[in-house]
Amino acid sequence: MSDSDAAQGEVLSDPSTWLDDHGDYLLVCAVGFVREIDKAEDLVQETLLAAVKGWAQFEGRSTVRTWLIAIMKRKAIDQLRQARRHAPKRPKALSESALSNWTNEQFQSSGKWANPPRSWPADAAASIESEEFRQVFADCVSRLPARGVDALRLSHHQGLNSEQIGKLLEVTPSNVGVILHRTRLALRHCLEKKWFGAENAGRKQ
Amino acid sequence: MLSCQRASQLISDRINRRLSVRERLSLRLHTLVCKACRTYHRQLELIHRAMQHHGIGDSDSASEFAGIQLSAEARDRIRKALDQRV
Repeated sequence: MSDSDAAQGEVLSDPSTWLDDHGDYLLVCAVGFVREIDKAEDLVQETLLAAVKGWAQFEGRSTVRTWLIAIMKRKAIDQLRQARRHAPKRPKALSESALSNWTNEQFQSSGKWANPPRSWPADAAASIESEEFRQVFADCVSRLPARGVDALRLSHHQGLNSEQIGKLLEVTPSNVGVILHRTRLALRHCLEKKWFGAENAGRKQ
Repeated sequence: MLSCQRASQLISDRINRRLSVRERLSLRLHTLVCKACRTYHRQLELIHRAMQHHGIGDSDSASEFAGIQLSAEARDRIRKALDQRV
């Protein structure tokens, strides 16, 4: 069957089969966004309802599943934007302005590194699989501003692009790039201090 | 020639988008001669792998939701909501 035949087949597909065909897959995607089973089920429901409503707009240019995921992303962004306004406090987290200042301090006025990254030990790659590392990693993440963590998570796990993340965080797409950059700099620095560059225990021997 | 400051931004950008031809070339020229930025790039890649392994998000791990499926109850609920709509 050619691609266009397959797409035609999908254009003609029956919405009442979507829950069976795509429900579990949608749920897995949904928890990636909302991190709780209840909310994820709601997100799946909202997505399928919106899809049924908007079925006439589906032109068969992508698969049904891709189209459903696109709808879910839009819904998730709206939900997450609401949720951010009531997000729990993170007492260890740096403020964004503190992170911005810190970032500037990482470079001299010439643009060179103030403290050039040095190589990590040979066992660095293997060490990331350990439970001890996971705890150190979680600790470092807890010190990052919420927007940075959200941006990292959404770009990494959910494949959102800068425009979508920008909508969610309510910043411009190029600002998303700046946020990601600063967050990665800080994350690397923390991990080096507490794990990769640490001389004593914490790292396995 | 790019500064390390600018190069580090591009190294980060590259993870999420395609660099322009000009950006790609300037970054490559810079990293050819700058060990610190080469190191930075490698370390970001390792952190990327760590995120794949452990997830990111303050308290949960990526594996927490692995392989989940809609419960029968959830399925029913959603099906009812869809039936009402159609």
